[in-house]
Amino acid sequence: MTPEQEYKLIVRIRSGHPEDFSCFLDCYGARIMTLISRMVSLPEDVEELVQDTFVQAYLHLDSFGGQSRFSTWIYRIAYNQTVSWLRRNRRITVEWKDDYLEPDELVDEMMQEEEEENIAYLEQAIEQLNPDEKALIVLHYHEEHSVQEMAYILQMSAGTVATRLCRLRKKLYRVIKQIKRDEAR
Amino acid sequence: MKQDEALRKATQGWLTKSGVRLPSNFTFRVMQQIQAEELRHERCRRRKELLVMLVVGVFSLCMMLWLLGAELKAMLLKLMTETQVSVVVLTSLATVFFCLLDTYLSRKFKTRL
Repeated sequence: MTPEQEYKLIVRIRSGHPEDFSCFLDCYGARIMTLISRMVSLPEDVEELVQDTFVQAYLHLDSFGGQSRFSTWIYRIAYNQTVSWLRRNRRITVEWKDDYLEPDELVDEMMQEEEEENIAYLEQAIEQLNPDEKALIVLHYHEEHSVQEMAYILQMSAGTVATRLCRLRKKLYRVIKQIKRDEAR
Repeated sequence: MKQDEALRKATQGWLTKSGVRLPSNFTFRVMQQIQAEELRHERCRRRKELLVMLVVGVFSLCMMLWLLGAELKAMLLKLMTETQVSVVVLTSLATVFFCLLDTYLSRKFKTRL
């Protein structure tokens, strides 16, 4: 859906055609679910959070000023809803350590090595990340959002997002090293 | 970091594993929930409006009575002796009619502003 089409649809919904909101559900439902399902483990909770995201988006449609794309805006709502839910349920422990001293060249090499074994290790390592880090992975490597868009979704500066992505890669490198060490024992 | 091909592939692989799927009636359920939420908001808004109107009304009445109590009493006594019953009946009927018209129109042209 192009931004123009999104805008027209929003105008139509605002002028008394709430049934048209289902277009957004069909278009973004699965993508929002992908993000939430990687931050929350229980399928029932995921479904509830996806529903809440769209209900909140509909109720606050008037506050959507078009400063971003609708998809970015709804991702922001989804992220906020999920983080609030995780905090309420005390399932989030976000700690962004700054002690990753892994050399950049080795990390870059690992992130580009497309051998099956390396990809399998990366998959295992991603699974061990915390929900906030998983969200970062989904948004950047699956949804291919730019750093600016991610900054809007995660409500932080673009610089912070770039730093976190960099730390994330180093953390993955460290986790893989640990997995390999455990396997060698 | 666009060049992280391995990480990109690993992300795709990770996402396809045991991914949660949307139920087939997801759109229908969300639209139902939206309708219910909208109704709840509408009711809440109406209740708030009524409460504000009530408070303002009571406050205005009290102020009027406090400031113009004696004059109002004299005026009402004069009205009661001079006004015909037909005028009171007509006024009451007009009030009821306009209330019903308001309800009908707000239902017919219900739109989000």
